Amino acid sequence: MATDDSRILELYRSGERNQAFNLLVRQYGEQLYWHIRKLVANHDDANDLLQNTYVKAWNAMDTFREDSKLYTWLYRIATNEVLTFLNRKKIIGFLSLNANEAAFERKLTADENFNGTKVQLSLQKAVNKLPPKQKVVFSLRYWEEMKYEDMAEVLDTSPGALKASYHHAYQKVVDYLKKDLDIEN
Amino acid sequence: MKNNNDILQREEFRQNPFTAPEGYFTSLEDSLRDKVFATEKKPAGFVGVLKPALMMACSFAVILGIGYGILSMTGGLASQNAQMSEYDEIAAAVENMDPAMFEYLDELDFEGYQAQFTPSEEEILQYFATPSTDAALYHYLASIQ
Repeated sequence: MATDDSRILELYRSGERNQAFNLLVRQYGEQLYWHIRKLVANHDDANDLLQNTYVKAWNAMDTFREDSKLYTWLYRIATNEVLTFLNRKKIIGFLSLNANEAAFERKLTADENFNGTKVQLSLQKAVNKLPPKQKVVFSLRYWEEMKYEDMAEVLDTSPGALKASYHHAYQKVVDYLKKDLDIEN
Repeated sequence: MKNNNDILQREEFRQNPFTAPEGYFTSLEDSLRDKVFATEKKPAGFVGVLKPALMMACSFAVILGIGYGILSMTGGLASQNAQMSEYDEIAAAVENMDPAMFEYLDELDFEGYQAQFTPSEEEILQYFATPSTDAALYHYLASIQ
């Protein structure tokens, strides 16, 4: 991956911008899409946020100084986009009667791009109840199995704080699942 | 964590329940390129580089213009200076007055004097027609006491 990152930057800096862009999308497009999608659930929202991520990243390519990895840098931009989106949605949720758990479930089950089982639906509902940043921490660690050191770069938080945050999120999710699926210890 | 919460260790939970619309990833490169290159920042030209400085100069010019306009409408600095110099003149005149004049005024029995003071019309006219200095006023008041 590091070799590809160097190649992308080399192409970009030598003025081969189209090639650099194609490689940037081929290398990270799908991965970033799933990272965003797992956090926002809806395809159209994920697509919009992915586009915003690439617009911002491409316009800031000149400022990328290789202090971090290209992949954590892109994840950071994508995650900030998602957090802004989720926080905005949360505020609207306070003002809207349709933004409750039942509405989330209805929307998800009606989505033709969601093929989850009952327990997977329950997990989505559990994760949806987490605060936005905790949701990101849970997703990066549980589904993407990202290292805490990389997560620290993405979220600009210490690995220790992230471990604590993941532990809390994990416990909340387990508690919700046990209750929702009626599972005993 | 694993011992107490094994439920999340089930493989089913780790599987991705979402799908993307058919052909989405094959057209991703094109759709992202269209979006990104349409909104790409153009490199700043000569005007672009000078723009912040020009904007700042314009702001100063506007502020100066507004300030000048307000001063012109309210009579400006000259009128304020004129008012100030008139005030300074009176203050200087008071400062230069003979201290004996103040002592004399302190000693005067104004209430008794006012009761007795019944100047004729001619005396009043003469008083206003006479250029009064503190010395003249002193002598005048001394003569009528």
